[in-house]
Amino acid sequence: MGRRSKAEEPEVFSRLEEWRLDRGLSRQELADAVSVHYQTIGYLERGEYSPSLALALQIAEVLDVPLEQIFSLHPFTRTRERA
Amino acid sequence: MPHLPATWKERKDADRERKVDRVMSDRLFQWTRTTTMRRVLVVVAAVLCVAIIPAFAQGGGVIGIIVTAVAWAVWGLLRMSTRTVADLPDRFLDERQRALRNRAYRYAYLILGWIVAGLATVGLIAFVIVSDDDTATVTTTWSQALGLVLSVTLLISLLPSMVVAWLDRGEESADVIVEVT
Repeated sequence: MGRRSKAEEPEVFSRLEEWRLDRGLSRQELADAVSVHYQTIGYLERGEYSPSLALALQIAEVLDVPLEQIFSLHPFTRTRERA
Repeated sequence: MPHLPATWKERKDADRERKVDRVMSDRLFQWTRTTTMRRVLVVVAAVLCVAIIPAFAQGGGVIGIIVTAVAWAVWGLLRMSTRTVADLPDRFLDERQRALRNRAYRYAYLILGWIVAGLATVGLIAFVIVSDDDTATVTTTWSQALGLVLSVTLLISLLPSMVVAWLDRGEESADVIVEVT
């Protein structure tokens, strides 16, 4: 089994902040909705932390947006499509 | 473990949950949560851990107690700065905080292990140098022994929070402001 160094781990790109503001939520409100600390939402928005699948799905559900519109393994290039 | 009455345990759990909620949403100690302040606290804590030994050995009881009190105060600030992440069980932490705490304990274990191994090596070398006929007698005063014990106790208590404070990004203002538009 091949092992990847930390530098080789795939980067997760995020459009969380954009969608959160679009839904009129503060970091605290979103954090409360998905049961995490508000600082963790900041980490996710800056792309400094990659969420577990469960957390990512929870966030997508709260924001009512398809998961791949919030998180991606590739940089977001196109103008966001309204969900 | 003795059986605890459910009502007493439930009250205790509820009380703890309230305390954790207070710490997690605390704003009073926000000034300790910048990256710079956290790192300053870590350095001060490390210095105090070491300073306790000479404070007791040479400064006497009063100075030793003062340094110990300052060290415990810094410990309290470090815990508030990191929102006690290093001391909480899984159920009070989110997945990022759990990962951070687990990483901090790994580093804390390695740091403590290397300190102990380093001190043992220095002790062994000193023993070889000063020993006479394979024996050496160590004489110590009560103050020196107390300083050493307090230093080690403090280090063990502080280290996980010190590592969390060093690793975790500071809570910058952007994290705190509620920016609903």
